[in-house]
Amino acid sequence: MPFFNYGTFSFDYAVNFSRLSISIEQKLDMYHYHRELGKWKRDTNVSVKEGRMFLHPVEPLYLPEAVTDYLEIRFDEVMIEPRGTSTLFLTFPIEIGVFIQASGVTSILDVVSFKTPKYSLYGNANRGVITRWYKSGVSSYPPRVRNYLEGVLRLQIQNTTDDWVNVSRTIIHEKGMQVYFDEHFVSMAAEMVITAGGTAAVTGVDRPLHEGMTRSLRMYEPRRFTSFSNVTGSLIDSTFIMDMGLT
Amino acid sequence: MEDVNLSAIYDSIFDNFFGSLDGSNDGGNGFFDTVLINGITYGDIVGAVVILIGTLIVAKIFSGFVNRMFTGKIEKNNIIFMQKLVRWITYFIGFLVMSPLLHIDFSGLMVAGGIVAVAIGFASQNTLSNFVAGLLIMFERPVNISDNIKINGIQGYVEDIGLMSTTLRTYEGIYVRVPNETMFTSDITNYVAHVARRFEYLISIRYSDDAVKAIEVIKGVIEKHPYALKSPSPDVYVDELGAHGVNLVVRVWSPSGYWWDARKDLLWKIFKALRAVDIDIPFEQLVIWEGKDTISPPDQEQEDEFAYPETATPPKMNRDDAAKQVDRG
Repeated sequence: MPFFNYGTFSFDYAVNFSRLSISIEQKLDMYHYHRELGKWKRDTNVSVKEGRMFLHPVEPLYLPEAVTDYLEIRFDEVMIEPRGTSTLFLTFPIEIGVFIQASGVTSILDVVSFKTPKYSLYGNANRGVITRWYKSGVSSYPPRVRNYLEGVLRLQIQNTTDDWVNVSRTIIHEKGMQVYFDEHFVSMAAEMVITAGGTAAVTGVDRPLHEGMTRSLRMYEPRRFTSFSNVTGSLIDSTFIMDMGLT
Repeated sequence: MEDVNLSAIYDSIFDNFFGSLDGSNDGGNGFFDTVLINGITYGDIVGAVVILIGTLIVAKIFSGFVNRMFTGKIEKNNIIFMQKLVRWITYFIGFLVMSPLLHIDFSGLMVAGGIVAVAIGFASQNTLSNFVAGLLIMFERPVNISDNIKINGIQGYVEDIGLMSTTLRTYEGIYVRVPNETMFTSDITNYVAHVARRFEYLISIRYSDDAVKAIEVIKGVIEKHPYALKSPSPDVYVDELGAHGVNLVVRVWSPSGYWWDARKDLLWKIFKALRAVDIDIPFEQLVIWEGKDTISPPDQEQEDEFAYPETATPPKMNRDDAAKQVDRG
C-alpha cells in the first residue's frame, strides 16, 4: 500500500502521487507553484528568494471553503455500558496543506484533498451548527488506512451516567484538533464524556497515536463572526457540548 | 531693585490655606475662601478643576465602554461617532455640574432655550425617531452587516447599520438607504439568520419515464454535492400528475451562506444526470379525442405493482356510461 510522504521539503521537491502532482519551479526571479489533482488545478506565483515547503495533513475543514469549524464523524452505533469507558478508533478525511516558509514565517499556499467533502446540520436550523460530515467505520484497534485518504481518530468515550447510552456520532471543534503524522499514519485524538442520555462534551486532545509522530502545522484561526460559529453556550474553550443527540 | 520678601508671601499663603482648614485664622476665611474674581473663590476653582478632571475620566470610561459594547456589531465609523456623542454629552453634564462653582447663571437662557428646544424638537422628530430606532436595532440585532435580507420588497445585502439609517446593496448592486424607523417597524426577512435553509425545485418528467428511477438519479446527484446537507436529508417525491408530465418535487437543505451556489449548481447537474439515463423533460402536449370510441385503460402488461385488488376490479366504462353515472350521482 503506497503512503504519501508528509514532511518538510526544499522548493525543488516535486510530488507525483496517484493523480496528485505538486511542484514549485523557478521562473526568472519568481517561483511558480503548480498543483494538479485530476481536473482540479491551482497555479500561484510566489515571490521569494529561498524557503521551504511543508506538506502536512491539516484539519479537514477547509475544502471547498472554510464553511464550518466542526467535524462530525458518524459511525455504526455503539452501546456504552453504565459508568463504562470505551476507546474507539474511527477515521477522518484527509486534507493536505501546502505551506511555504521564508524568513521564519510560514503561510498556507494551498489545500488539496482526495476526498469529496460533505456538510451536515447538527441540531436544528435555529440553534444547530453546520458540520463537515464524514462516515467512518468503527474498530477497537487502529485500522489500516491510506494516509492520503484517511486519518485515524482515537476517541475515548466515558459514560458517566447510570444507564446504557447509544452513540453513533461525535463532533469535534477545530480548536481542539491536533493532527499528527508519521510515514504510515495521520492521527488525531479526542475525548467524549457523556453526561446525560443525549448530551456529551467532546474535547480534542493533543496526543499522537504513538510515540515519534510529528505534529502538523495548524490552519486554525478563530472565526468568531462567521454565521456558523456563533452558537452561544455550545462551545466552551475547545470543548463542544453535544446537547442535541448522540445518535 | 526692591527687595522682595518671599518668605512673608509664603507664610501668608500657608496661613491662609491651613487656617481655612483648621479655622485658626480670623473670621474663618482661608485660602479656599479667598475671592479671585467676580465672587469666584480659589475653592470654587479647585472644585471646578476636580469636576473637570472627573468629567474627562468619566467621558473616557464611557467612550471605552461604548467601544467594547459595539465592536463587531456595527461599523467602526459609527462606533467613533457614538463615542464622540457620549463624550460630548458627558462634557455637557460636567459643565452643568461645574457651572454653579463658576457662578454661571443660566436663568436668562431658560426662556430662549425652551423655545429653541421646542422648535428643535419639532424639527428633529423624525431624526430622533430614526436615531432611537437605530439604537434599538443595534440592541435587538434583527440583521447584521452582510446579511442577505428583504425589507419592504427590497432584497439585498446589509452594507451598514448606521445610527440614522441602514444601507443595503441590492443584487443589482444598487445602493438603497432605509431609515432606521422603517427598518424597525417593517417586516424583515433575514435569509441567513439561521445556519441552514431549504430550497426546492419542481422537475417534470414524461409519463413514459420511470419516476422511481428518476428519484434515485436525483438523490444520487444531491448526495455528491457538498453543500446539499446530509442532515436534514433531501426529499424527492412525486408531487403531482400534471397535465403534461409527472411533477417531482426536490427539497434540499443547504448552509445559509451557500444555498444559492448549491441551487444554481444542482439543477443543471440533475438535468444532465436525468438525460444520461434517458429521462427527459416533457414537452407540452394535447391529445384530441373525437367520437364515441371506448376509452381504453392502460395496457395491462405495462401496469406495475399499483394494480387494482382482485376483489374490486373496476368495470370498463365508456364516456356515455360515465356521464350517466355522474347524472345519477
